[in-house]
Amino acid sequence: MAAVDEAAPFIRGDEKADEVELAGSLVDLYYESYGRMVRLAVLLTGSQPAAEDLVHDAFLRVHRHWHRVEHPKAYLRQAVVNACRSSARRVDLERSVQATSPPPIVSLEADEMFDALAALPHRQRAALVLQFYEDLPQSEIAEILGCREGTVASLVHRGLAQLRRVVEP
Amino acid sequence: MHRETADALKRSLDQRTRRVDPRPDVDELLRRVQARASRRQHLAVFAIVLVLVVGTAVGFLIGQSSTDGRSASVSIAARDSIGPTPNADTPLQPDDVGAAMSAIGTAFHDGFDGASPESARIAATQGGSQMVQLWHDSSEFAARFGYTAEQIAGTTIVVRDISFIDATHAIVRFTITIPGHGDVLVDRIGYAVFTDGRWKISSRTACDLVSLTGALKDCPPSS
Repeated sequence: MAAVDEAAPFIRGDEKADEVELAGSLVDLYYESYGRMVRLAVLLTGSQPAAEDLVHDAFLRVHRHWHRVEHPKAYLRQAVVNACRSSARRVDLERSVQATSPPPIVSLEADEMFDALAALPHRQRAALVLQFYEDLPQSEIAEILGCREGTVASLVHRGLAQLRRVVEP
Repeated sequence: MHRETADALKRSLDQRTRRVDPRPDVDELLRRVQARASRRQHLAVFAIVLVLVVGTAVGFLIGQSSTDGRSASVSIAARDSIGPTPNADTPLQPDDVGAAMSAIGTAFHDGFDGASPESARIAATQGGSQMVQLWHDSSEFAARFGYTAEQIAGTTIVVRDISFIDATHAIVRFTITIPGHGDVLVDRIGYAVFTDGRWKISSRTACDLVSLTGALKDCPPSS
């Protein structure tokens, strides 16, 4: 075990100090946000193991862009939503390739509303979850989804209409 | 129009998330961070090797077809533009993790337990000798906020988690309890550093905690 260099880890400008401080800041954010982000990802993917994996990847993305990110929490949330979208695309692709693939696993505790939500297209589902779970304003949802506020309003409206048709036929 | 549906959706989301039990795994996070850093280093090494091979090959080919001596400058120029090869083998944790964890725990107890003698506190803290006056000042400030000397002397620390950043740095999660005041710092993040032949509380962490009492605005620079 070698002794650490004299400058680490307090002196500003020292590369090692920056690295250590960055890791510390990331860990702070991790403890603060991990639970909520996993819950968000579960709502978007339906699977806790997948959610935990995607959230770890999202933290890695935050770490990569830390010095350029003004609001790490907001960036993290966006990274989680994007990761869930990419994951959903992969799953859709796999299902389309495997014509005989089994239907998605449904919770033993029947939840008609959640199952209906899971059947919605990703953007509609994300808009609904971000509005009704994260309580975000539509302007922020628009930023996360990369669309206009009007589009978010439309996604939410159509999503709710679809849910209503499913749960109240 | 969809108010009832929205309310039902909210209830469903709430019920679903209550069943989720996320377990933070900071080691997994740091492992991924380190793995990514290693991948980047290996990629950089590969790129350097590629440039050297291609540069040498181009130099050789030009040398085959030219006799004016410029061929040599091609490969040399390619080499000169490359910086030092990054070290992809930086150890990610100490050789003896168990001993290091034990030593870090001891350092944090020596540094923060109220019963620790000042000499132990100094030895357990990076730049500890420069912190003595600040510790005295912080005790005085703490007294103004209702912390008696007996209570301060009864301070205890529980180290909950240690994650290594590399062989000489670690992140430490700990909780500090003061009799009569309960857990005054819960799951606080601090740093340990291997310096002067032993693990110590980093000066930044020591300063951060002293700063909480309002005893100072700026910590002294580390030695």
